Amino acid sequence: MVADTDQDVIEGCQRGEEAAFRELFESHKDKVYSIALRFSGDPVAAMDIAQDTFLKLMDRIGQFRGDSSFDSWLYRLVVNSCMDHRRRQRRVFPVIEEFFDSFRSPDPTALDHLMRDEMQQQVQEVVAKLAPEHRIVIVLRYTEGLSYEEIADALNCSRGTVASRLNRAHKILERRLSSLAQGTRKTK
Amino acid sequence: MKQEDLNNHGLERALEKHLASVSAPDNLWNYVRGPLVRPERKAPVWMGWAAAVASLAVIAGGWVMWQIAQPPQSVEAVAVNALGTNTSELPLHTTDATAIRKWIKAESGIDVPLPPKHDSLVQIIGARIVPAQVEGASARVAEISYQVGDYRAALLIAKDPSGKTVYPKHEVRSSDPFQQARVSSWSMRGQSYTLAWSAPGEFRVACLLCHSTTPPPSI
Repeated sequence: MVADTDQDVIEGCQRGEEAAFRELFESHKDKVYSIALRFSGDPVAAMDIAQDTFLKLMDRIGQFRGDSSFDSWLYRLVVNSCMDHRRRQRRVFPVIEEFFDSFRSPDPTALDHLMRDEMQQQVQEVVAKLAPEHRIVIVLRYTEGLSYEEIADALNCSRGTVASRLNRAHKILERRLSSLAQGTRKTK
Repeated sequence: MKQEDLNNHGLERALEKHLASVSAPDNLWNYVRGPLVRPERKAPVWMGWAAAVASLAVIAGGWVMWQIAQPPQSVEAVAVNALGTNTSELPLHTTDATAIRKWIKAESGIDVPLPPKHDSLVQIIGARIVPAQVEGASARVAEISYQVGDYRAALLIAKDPSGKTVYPKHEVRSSDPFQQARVSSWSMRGQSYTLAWSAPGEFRVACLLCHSTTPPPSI
Protein backbone atom coordinates (compact mmCIF):
# COMPACT_ATOMS: atom_id res chain seq x y z
CA MET A 1 0.00 0.00 0.00
CA VAL A 2 2.71 2.46 -0.89
CA ALA A 3 1.41 3.50 -4.26
CA ASP A 4 1.01 7.09 -3.08
CA THR A 5 4.74 7.39 -2.56
CA ASP A 6 7.44 5.78 -4.61
CA GLN A 7 8.55 2.57 -2.99
CA ASP A 8 12.13 3.21 -4.11
CA VAL A 9 12.21 6.54 -2.30
CA ILE A 10 11.01 4.99 0.93
CA GLU A 11 13.51 2.17 0.66
CA GLY A 12 16.24 4.72 -0.01
CA CYS A 13 15.26 6.56 3.18
CA GLN A 14 15.31 3.29 5.07
CA ARG A 15 18.88 2.78 3.85
CA GLY A 16 19.72 6.27 5.14
CA GLU A 17 20.21 7.91 1.75
CA GLU A 18 20.15 11.69 2.06
CA ALA A 19 18.93 12.23 -1.51
CA ALA A 20 15.96 9.93 -0.95
CA PHE A 21 15.05 11.78 2.18
CA ARG A 22 15.26 15.10 0.37
CA GLU A 23 12.92 13.76 -2.29
CA LEU A 24 10.48 12.53 0.31
CA PHE A 25 10.66 15.90 2.05
CA GLU A 26 9.95 17.79 -1.16
CA SER A 27 6.95 15.59 -1.88
CA HIS A 28 5.34 16.09 1.51
CA LYS A 29 6.62 19.37 2.96
CA ASP A 30 3.57 21.42 1.93
CA LYS A 31 1.19 18.90 3.41
CA VAL A 32 3.08 18.71 6.71
CA TYR A 33 3.59 22.46 6.98
CA SER A 34 -0.04 23.24 6.10
CA ILE A 35 -1.42 20.98 8.81
CA ALA A 36 1.09 22.37 11.30
CA LEU A 37 0.24 25.97 10.40
CA ARG A 38 -3.52 25.51 10.44
CA PHE A 39 -3.33 23.61 13.72
CA SER A 40 -1.04 26.05 15.51
CA GLY A 41 -2.09 29.28 13.80
CA ASP A 42 1.50 30.42 14.14
CA PRO A 43 4.16 30.21 11.36
CA VAL A 44 7.01 29.86 13.86
CA ALA A 45 5.26 27.06 15.71
CA ALA A 46 4.43 25.47 12.36
CA MET A 47 8.14 25.35 11.52
CA ASP A 48 8.82 23.62 14.82
CA ILE A 49 6.03 21.10 14.26
CA ALA A 50 7.20 20.40 10.71
CA GLN A 51 10.78 19.98 11.90
CA ASP A 52 9.63 17.60 14.61
CA THR A 53 7.56 15.63 12.12
CA PHE A 54 10.41 15.13 9.67
CA LEU A 55 12.84 14.26 12.44
CA LYS A 56 10.39 11.62 13.62
CA LEU A 57 10.03 10.46 10.03
CA MET A 58 13.78 10.02 9.69
CA ASP A 59 13.95 8.26 13.00
CA ARG A 60 11.09 5.86 12.36
CA ILE A 61 11.14 5.29 8.62
CA GLY A 62 12.78 1.94 9.29
CA GLN A 63 9.64 0.84 11.11
CA PHE A 64 7.39 1.60 8.13
CA ARG A 65 6.39 -1.77 6.65
CA GLY A 66 3.80 -0.60 4.16
CA ASP A 67 0.86 -2.15 6.01
CA SER A 68 -0.99 1.14 5.56
CA SER A 69 -0.47 3.90 3.05
CA PHE A 70 2.54 6.14 3.54
CA ASP A 71 0.25 9.17 3.68
CA SER A 72 -1.72 7.65 6.59
CA TRP A 73 1.53 6.90 8.39
CA LEU A 74 2.76 10.43 7.79
CA TYR A 75 -0.53 11.96 8.96
CA ARG A 76 -0.14 10.10 12.25
CA LEU A 77 3.33 11.56 12.67
CA VAL A 78 2.06 15.08 11.99
CA VAL A 79 -0.85 14.65 14.38
CA ASN A 80 1.50 13.41 17.09
CA SER A 81 3.81 16.36 16.57
CA CYS A 82 0.86 18.75 16.72
CA MET A 83 -0.34 17.20 19.97
CA ASP A 84 3.16 17.23 21.42
CA HIS A 85 3.42 20.90 20.58
CA ARG A 86 0.03 21.54 22.12
CA ARG A 87 1.13 19.83 25.33
CA ARG A 88 4.07 22.17 25.52
CA GLN A 89 1.78 25.13 24.99
CA ARG A 90 -1.06 23.82 27.09
CA ARG A 91 -3.90 26.28 27.55
CA VAL A 92 -7.19 26.01 29.32
CA PHE A 93 -8.85 28.86 27.53
CA PRO A 94 -10.19 26.90 24.54
CA VAL A 95 -12.27 24.72 26.81
CA ILE A 96 -13.61 27.71 28.72
CA GLU A 97 -14.39 29.60 25.53
CA GLU A 98 -16.22 26.62 24.09
CA PHE A 99 -18.28 26.40 27.25
CA PHE A 100 -19.38 30.03 27.04
CA ASP A 101 -19.92 29.82 23.30
CA SER A 102 -22.53 27.16 23.83
CA PHE A 103 -24.80 29.88 25.25
CA ARG A 104 -24.54 32.11 22.18
CA SER A 105 -27.11 31.83 19.40
CA PRO A 106 -25.98 31.75 15.77
CA ASP A 107 -27.01 34.37 13.25
CA PRO A 108 -28.32 32.54 10.12
CA THR A 109 -27.20 35.16 7.64
CA ALA A 110 -23.95 36.30 9.16
CA LEU A 111 -21.97 33.45 7.62
CA ASP A 112 -22.20 35.18 4.26
CA HIS A 113 -19.61 37.61 5.51
CA LEU A 114 -17.15 34.83 6.04
CA MET A 115 -16.30 34.62 2.39
CA ARG A 116 -14.68 37.99 2.53
CA ASP A 117 -10.93 38.00 2.53
CA GLU A 118 -10.66 40.23 5.56
CA MET A 119 -12.29 37.48 7.56
CA GLN A 120 -9.53 35.00 6.81
CA GLN A 121 -7.43 35.91 9.78
CA GLN A 122 -10.43 35.81 12.06
CA VAL A 123 -11.43 32.36 10.80
CA GLN A 124 -7.94 31.06 11.45
CA GLU A 125 -7.89 32.63 14.88
CA VAL A 126 -11.23 31.10 15.77
CA VAL A 127 -10.06 27.69 14.57
CA ALA A 128 -6.84 28.10 16.55
CA LYS A 129 -8.90 28.60 19.69
CA LEU A 130 -10.72 25.30 19.33
CA ALA A 131 -9.80 22.52 21.70
CA PRO A 132 -7.01 20.41 20.11
CA GLU A 133 -9.18 17.35 19.49
CA HIS A 134 -11.68 19.53 17.60
CA ARG A 135 -9.05 21.60 15.84
CA ILE A 136 -7.19 18.65 14.39
CA VAL A 137 -10.30 17.13 12.78
CA ILE A 138 -11.16 20.49 11.24
CA VAL A 139 -7.64 20.90 9.86
CA LEU A 140 -7.46 17.38 8.45
CA ARG A 141 -10.91 17.77 6.94
CA TYR A 142 -10.61 21.23 5.40
CA THR A 143 -6.89 21.70 4.86
CA GLU A 144 -6.20 18.22 3.57
CA GLY A 145 -9.70 17.24 2.48
CA LEU A 146 -9.48 13.87 4.21
CA SER A 147 -12.48 11.59 4.49
CA TYR A 148 -13.90 10.58 7.86
CA GLU A 149 -12.18 7.20 7.49
CA GLU A 150 -8.81 8.77 6.73
CA ILE A 151 -9.13 11.15 9.68
CA ALA A 152 -10.10 8.24 11.93
CA ASP A 153 -7.02 6.36 10.73
CA ALA A 154 -4.73 9.32 11.38
CA LEU A 155 -6.18 9.92 14.83
CA ASN A 156 -6.44 6.24 15.70
CA CYS A 157 -10.10 6.57 16.65
CA SER A 158 -13.45 5.48 15.24
CA ARG A 159 -15.32 7.09 12.38
CA GLY A 160 -18.13 7.88 14.82
CA THR A 161 -15.73 9.79 17.03
CA VAL A 162 -14.56 11.80 14.04
CA ALA A 163 -18.17 12.59 13.05
CA SER A 164 -19.02 13.61 16.59
CA ARG A 165 -15.97 15.88 16.93
CA LEU A 166 -16.58 17.47 13.55
CA ASN A 167 -20.21 18.12 14.40
CA ARG A 168 -19.27 19.66 17.70
CA ALA A 169 -16.51 21.76 16.10
CA HIS A 170 -18.92 23.00 13.41
CA LYS A 171 -21.37 24.22 16.02
CA ILE A 172 -18.69 26.00 18.00
CA LEU A 173 -17.25 27.65 14.89
CA GLU A 174 -20.70 28.66 13.72
CA ARG A 175 -21.42 30.44 16.97
CA ARG A 176 -18.07 32.16 17.19
CA LEU A 177 -17.96 33.24 13.57
CA SER A 178 -21.54 34.48 13.72
CA SER A 179 -20.82 36.71 16.65
CA LEU A 180 -17.67 37.96 14.93
CA ALA A 181 -19.61 38.75 11.75
CA GLN A 182 -22.28 40.53 13.77
CA GLY A 183 -19.65 42.64 15.44
CA THR A 184 -18.12 43.50 12.05
CA ARG A 185 -21.43 44.66 10.62
CA LYS A 186 -22.25 46.78 13.65
CA THR A 187 -18.99 48.66 13.37
CA LYS A 188 -19.56 49.49 9.70
CA MET B 1 -32.75 23.19 1.62
CA LYS B 2 -33.07 23.92 5.32
CA GLN B 3 -31.50 27.01 6.86
CA GLU B 4 -29.23 24.78 8.96
CA ASP B 5 -27.93 23.06 5.82
CA LEU B 6 -27.31 26.43 4.24
CA ASN B 7 -25.38 27.52 7.31
CA ASN B 8 -23.33 24.33 7.36
CA HIS B 9 -22.64 24.64 3.66
CA GLY B 10 -21.53 28.24 4.09
CA LEU B 11 -19.37 27.31 7.04
CA GLU B 12 -17.73 24.47 5.14
CA ARG B 13 -17.02 26.72 2.19
CA ALA B 14 -15.52 29.30 4.53
CA LEU B 15 -13.33 26.72 6.21
CA GLU B 16 -12.18 25.24 2.90
CA LYS B 17 -11.25 28.69 1.70
CA HIS B 18 -9.56 30.04 4.79
CA LEU B 19 -7.88 26.85 5.91
CA ALA B 20 -6.58 25.91 2.49
CA SER B 21 -3.25 24.19 2.12
CA VAL B 22 -0.23 26.47 1.81
CA SER B 23 3.30 26.12 0.49
CA ALA B 24 6.04 25.42 2.97
CA PRO B 25 8.63 28.20 3.32
CA ASP B 26 11.82 27.75 1.35
CA ASN B 27 13.96 27.57 4.46
CA LEU B 28 12.08 24.64 5.94
CA TRP B 29 14.65 22.16 4.63
CA ASN B 30 17.49 24.02 6.32
CA TYR B 31 15.41 24.25 9.45
CA VAL B 32 14.78 20.50 9.46
CA ARG B 33 18.37 19.55 8.64
CA GLY B 34 19.96 22.24 10.78
CA PRO B 35 20.93 21.85 14.39
CA LEU B 36 17.97 20.92 16.48
CA VAL B 37 17.06 23.94 18.56
CA ARG B 38 14.29 23.41 21.01
CA PRO B 39 13.04 25.97 23.49
CA GLU B 40 14.26 25.12 26.91
CA ARG B 41 11.51 23.37 28.76
CA LYS B 42 10.72 24.52 32.22
CA ALA B 43 10.54 21.79 34.79
CA PRO B 44 6.90 20.83 35.41
CA VAL B 45 5.26 22.38 38.46
CA TRP B 46 4.79 18.98 40.09
CA MET B 47 8.54 18.45 40.07
CA GLY B 48 8.97 21.61 42.09
CA TRP B 49 6.43 20.45 44.62
CA ALA B 50 7.97 16.99 44.75
CA ALA B 51 11.39 18.51 45.39
CA ALA B 52 9.97 20.73 48.14
CA VAL B 53 8.22 17.80 49.81
CA ALA B 54 11.36 15.66 49.54
CA SER B 55 13.45 18.45 51.06
CA LEU B 56 11.02 18.82 53.95
CA ALA B 57 11.03 15.06 54.48
CA VAL B 58 14.84 15.05 54.59
CA ILE B 59 14.90 17.97 57.03
CA ALA B 60 12.22 16.38 59.24
CA GLY B 61 14.00 13.01 59.11
CA GLY B 62 17.28 14.67 60.01
CA TRP B 63 15.68 16.50 62.90
CA VAL B 64 14.13 13.28 64.21
CA MET B 65 17.45 11.44 63.89
CA TRP B 66 19.21 14.29 65.66
CA GLN B 67 16.65 14.19 68.44
CA ILE B 68 17.08 10.44 68.76
CA ALA B 69 20.84 10.77 68.79
CA GLN B 70 20.74 13.40 71.53
CA PRO B 71 21.08 11.97 75.05
CA PRO B 72 18.06 12.85 77.19
CA GLN B 73 18.30 15.59 79.76
CA SER B 74 19.34 14.88 83.29
CA VAL B 75 16.51 13.84 85.55
CA GLU B 76 17.02 17.03 87.56
CA ALA B 77 16.51 19.18 84.45
CA VAL B 78 13.48 17.14 83.46
CA ALA B 79 12.06 17.60 86.94
CA VAL B 80 12.46 21.37 86.77
CA ASN B 81 10.89 21.44 83.31
CA ALA B 82 7.98 19.45 84.69
CA LEU B 83 7.12 22.39 86.94
CA GLY B 84 6.07 24.30 83.84
CA THR B 85 4.36 21.45 82.02
CA ASN B 86 0.97 22.28 80.64
CA THR B 87 -1.57 19.85 82.02
CA SER B 88 -2.84 19.15 78.49
CA GLU B 89 0.56 17.61 77.70
CA LEU B 90 0.03 14.87 80.26
CA PRO B 91 -1.42 11.62 78.89
CA LEU B 92 -2.91 10.86 82.30
CA HIS B 93 -4.82 13.72 83.85
CA THR B 94 -6.31 12.77 87.21
CA THR B 95 -6.35 13.69 90.90
CA ASP B 96 -6.66 10.05 91.96
CA ALA B 97 -3.42 8.73 93.51
CA THR B 98 -4.48 5.10 93.10
CA ALA B 99 -5.17 5.60 89.40
CA ILE B 100 -1.77 7.29 89.03
CA ARG B 101 -0.01 4.37 90.70
CA LYS B 102 -1.76 1.77 88.53
CA TRP B 103 -1.14 3.67 85.31
CA ILE B 104 2.58 4.15 86.01
CA LYS B 105 2.95 0.48 86.91
CA ALA B 106 1.26 -0.53 83.68
CA GLU B 107 3.23 1.90 81.52
CA SER B 108 6.71 1.55 82.98
CA GLY B 109 6.76 -1.27 85.49
CA ILE B 110 7.70 1.24 88.20
CA ASP B 111 5.79 0.93 91.42
CA VAL B 112 5.39 4.28 93.14
CA PRO B 113 4.42 3.88 96.79
CA LEU B 114 1.84 6.65 96.70
CA PRO B 115 -0.59 6.57 99.60
CA PRO B 116 -4.21 6.55 98.42
CA LYS B 117 -4.95 9.59 100.53
CA HIS B 118 -2.84 12.68 100.94
CA ASP B 119 -2.93 16.05 102.62
CA SER B 120 -5.76 18.35 101.59
CA LEU B 121 -3.21 20.94 100.45
CA VAL B 122 -2.00 18.52 97.76
CA GLN B 123 -3.73 18.32 94.42
CA ILE B 124 -2.44 15.77 91.94
CA ILE B 125 -2.51 16.97 88.32
CA GLY B 126 -1.43 13.95 86.27
CA ALA B 127 1.44 11.79 85.10
CA ARG B 128 3.51 10.78 82.10
CA ILE B 129 6.54 8.67 81.24
CA VAL B 130 9.57 10.58 79.96
CA PRO B 131 13.18 9.75 79.05
CA ALA B 132 15.94 11.14 81.26
CA GLN B 133 19.51 10.57 82.37
CA VAL B 134 19.55 9.06 85.84
CA GLU B 135 23.01 8.86 87.36
CA GLY B 136 24.56 8.91 83.91
CA ALA B 137 22.33 6.27 82.35
CA SER B 138 19.30 6.70 80.10
CA ALA B 139 16.09 5.57 81.71
CA ARG B 140 12.33 5.78 81.40
CA VAL B 141 11.11 7.95 84.22
CA ALA B 142 7.64 8.28 85.71
CA GLU B 143 6.74 11.92 86.25
CA ILE B 144 3.97 12.91 88.64
CA SER B 145 2.90 16.54 88.53
CA TYR B 146 1.06 17.98 91.47
CA GLN B 147 0.42 21.17 93.34
CA VAL B 148 0.78 22.06 96.99
CA GLY B 149 -1.16 25.19 97.73
CA ASP B 150 -0.31 27.61 94.95
CA TYR B 151 3.00 26.01 93.99
CA ARG B 152 3.82 23.32 91.47
CA ALA B 153 5.86 20.25 92.32
CA ALA B 154 7.01 17.21 90.36
CA LEU B 155 8.16 13.84 91.55
CA LEU B 156 10.14 11.70 89.12
CA ILE B 157 10.75 8.04 89.77
CA ALA B 158 13.04 5.66 87.90
CA LYS B 159 14.38 2.21 88.51
CA ASP B 160 17.78 2.60 90.12
CA PRO B 161 20.29 2.15 87.29
CA SER B 162 22.81 0.51 89.58
CA GLY B 163 20.21 -1.88 90.93
CA LYS B 164 22.13 -2.00 94.17
CA THR B 165 20.33 0.55 96.28
CA VAL B 166 18.30 -1.39 98.75
CA TYR B 167 18.09 1.31 101.39
CA PRO B 168 14.71 1.20 103.06
CA LYS B 169 14.96 4.90 103.84
CA HIS B 170 15.80 7.94 101.77
CA GLU B 171 19.45 8.00 100.76
CA VAL B 172 19.78 11.59 99.63
CA ARG B 173 22.19 12.11 96.74
CA SER B 174 21.78 15.83 96.26
CA SER B 175 19.60 18.66 97.39
CA ASP B 176 20.39 21.91 95.65
CA PRO B 177 18.83 24.90 93.99
CA PHE B 178 18.49 24.18 90.28
CA GLN B 179 17.37 26.76 87.70
CA GLN B 180 15.33 28.82 90.16
CA ALA B 181 13.78 25.74 91.71
CA ARG B 182 14.70 23.41 94.50
CA VAL B 183 15.59 19.88 93.51
CA SER B 184 16.40 16.89 95.64
CA SER B 185 17.33 13.36 94.58
CA TRP B 186 17.49 10.18 96.61
CA SER B 187 17.43 6.43 96.26
CA MET B 188 15.20 4.04 98.10
CA ARG B 189 14.33 0.37 97.70
CA GLY B 190 15.87 0.01 94.27
CA GLN B 191 14.33 3.15 92.83
CA SER B 192 15.64 6.63 92.19
CA TYR B 193 13.51 9.65 93.14
CA THR B 194 13.85 13.27 92.14
CA LEU B 195 11.65 16.00 93.55
CA ALA B 196 11.36 19.52 92.16
CA TRP B 197 9.62 22.32 93.96
CA SER B 198 8.81 25.73 92.54
CA ALA B 199 8.35 27.67 95.79
CA PRO B 200 11.25 29.55 97.30
CA GLY B 201 10.44 28.64 100.90
CA GLU B 202 10.05 25.48 102.85
CA PHE B 203 10.99 22.54 100.65
CA ARG B 204 9.49 19.84 102.81
CA VAL B 205 5.99 21.02 101.97
CA ALA B 206 6.47 19.24 98.67
CA CYS B 207 6.85 15.98 100.59
CA LEU B 208 3.18 16.11 101.53
CA LEU B 209 2.37 14.04 98.45
CA CYS B 210 3.62 10.94 100.25
CA HIS B 211 4.12 12.12 103.80
CA SER B 212 0.89 13.66 105.00
CA THR B 213 0.67 11.26 107.95
CA THR B 214 4.31 10.39 108.48
CA PRO B 215 7.10 12.84 109.22
CA PRO B 216 8.85 14.05 106.09
CA PRO B 217 12.45 13.08 105.65
CA SER B 218 15.26 15.47 106.24
CA ILE B 219 16.02 16.73 102.76
